[in-house]
Amino acid sequence: MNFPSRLIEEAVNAFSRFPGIGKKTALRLTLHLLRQQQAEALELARAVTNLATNVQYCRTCHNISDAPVCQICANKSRNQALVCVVADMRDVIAIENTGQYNGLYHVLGGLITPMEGIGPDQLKIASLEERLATGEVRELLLAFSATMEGDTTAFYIGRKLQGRDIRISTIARGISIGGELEYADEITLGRSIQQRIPFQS
Amino acid sequence: MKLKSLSLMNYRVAERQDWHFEADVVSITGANGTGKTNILDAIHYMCLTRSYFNQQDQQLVRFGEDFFNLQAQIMEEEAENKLFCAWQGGKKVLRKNGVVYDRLADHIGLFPVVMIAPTDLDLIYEGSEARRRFADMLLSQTDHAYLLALMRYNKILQQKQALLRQYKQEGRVDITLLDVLDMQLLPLNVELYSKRVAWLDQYNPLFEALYRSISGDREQVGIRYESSFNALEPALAMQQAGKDDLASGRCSVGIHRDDLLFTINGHPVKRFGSQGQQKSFLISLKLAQSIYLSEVMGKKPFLLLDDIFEKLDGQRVSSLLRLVQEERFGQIFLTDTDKKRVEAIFRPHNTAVQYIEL
Ligand SMILES: [Zn+2]
Repeated sequence: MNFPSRLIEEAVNAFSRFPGIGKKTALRLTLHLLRQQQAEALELARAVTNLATNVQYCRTCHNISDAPVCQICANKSRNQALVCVVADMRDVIAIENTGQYNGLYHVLGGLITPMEGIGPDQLKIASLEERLATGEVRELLLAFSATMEGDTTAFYIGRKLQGRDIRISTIARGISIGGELEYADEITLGRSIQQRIPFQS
Repeated sequence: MKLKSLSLMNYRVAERQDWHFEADVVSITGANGTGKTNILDAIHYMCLTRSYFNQQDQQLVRFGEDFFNLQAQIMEEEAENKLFCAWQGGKKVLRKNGVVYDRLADHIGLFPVVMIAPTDLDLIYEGSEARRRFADMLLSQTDHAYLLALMRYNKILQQKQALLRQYKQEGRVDITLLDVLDMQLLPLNVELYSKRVAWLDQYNPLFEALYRSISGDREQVGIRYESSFNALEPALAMQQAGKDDLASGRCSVGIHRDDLLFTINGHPVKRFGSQGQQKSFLISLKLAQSIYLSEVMGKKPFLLLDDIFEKLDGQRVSSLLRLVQEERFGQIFLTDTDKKRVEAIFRPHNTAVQYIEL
């Protein structure tokens, strides 16, 4: 793509580095910015600068944070004995949105994927072990995607923590709410049957 | 199961083709390079979502284009199935009766198919991968759980291979992580191994009987399953390989290393079979596949015969035709360079044949 202006080209290149954004969409976004009030474009620039320069990671749970310790970790009314281990911040948001969880988190920064060079050392697993050393945490809730990488990471953490006096649980997996039984894949359905639970009315 | 129509767009050499099929035997004739095989391969693709010739989807796109699509109409009893498959830019979409499949694997096994082609000689002469693919494609059609377990196995195996390579390079090892991967591989090894064993127990007698009727020969043929788990329990075999694997950086034990040994009178057919015997061996191997699929699934697969009559002698051709007459096979699609030859073969048998000339 040829551009009449170096400035446009620079902006298009910057936008097209976003996941899922091609050159065409990047150009549309750039032109949209130009049509707006200048103040609005500068507002966006300020937000990006702020994000890039001020972002921090919570030193306890490694979630993205505005301060050395994040709001969740700092909230003493949350259950300090329960820690939910997740792959990344999106999972924290998803679980917070359920309104069902009142413990703390531990954000690994990914899942074990040797093919992509992501092993335990690239993730915050050692830091999880350190965190447990204080003895305050009584239960870990492993909440990973139901994929091979999720399973591997869960098994690995399980092995690493073997022999510690701590309860390890994992989120239940099964038929989605509103989902029809006949459309559930056989692995999900099979697991739901194997791990059936007492009926509660 | 009857294939009523097939459309190809940008599939290999075909720019745009629409075919309608009426008979139980469809003969497609034409000179070499006119795209006969292409039509058979398109049928194979619609049934198994992949080319018979083990090519990447990208390589199937007609030169200079960036997509291909296929459409087919298959009747089963009274029910009509409309299939549509499109590939573009690395993305593949498959629809049955307008509904998009979430997982392509769910399509495999609905419309069984068997192809016999000159390249089948690879099964005898190439490495073990070709023979594993032969077994896997067959078992995946009859047993969906097998296919899912195999896909899962391959994925975990790739991770383990990556890890072994990395450990060899870096000279340090996280045994816990290797254990975790092995722990996931073990039950899959057990499942896939035992299913392959059970399959061969059932397959070998079928195959032997077909070989006798095709070749008229008395030799004893068979398929022997060679696996790391024949001598040792999977758990033990995997455990024992651990150290060597770390040294070599490769995973040496598991169903991905299995092989099928083709034998004639107890010896490898590769070295001890004459050309004629090898030909009979391969055709019987494939026809047994068709009969096995019919028996297990209760429907007769499409049988695709790519250019096989030219190379078969009269004895084998008439044995094959007898099986066709006994209605042992489903709808047959065959290619040949010579229409007269096909007519001469089928005319005495009173079989209705649809002739397509390219
Ligand atoms: Zn925190």
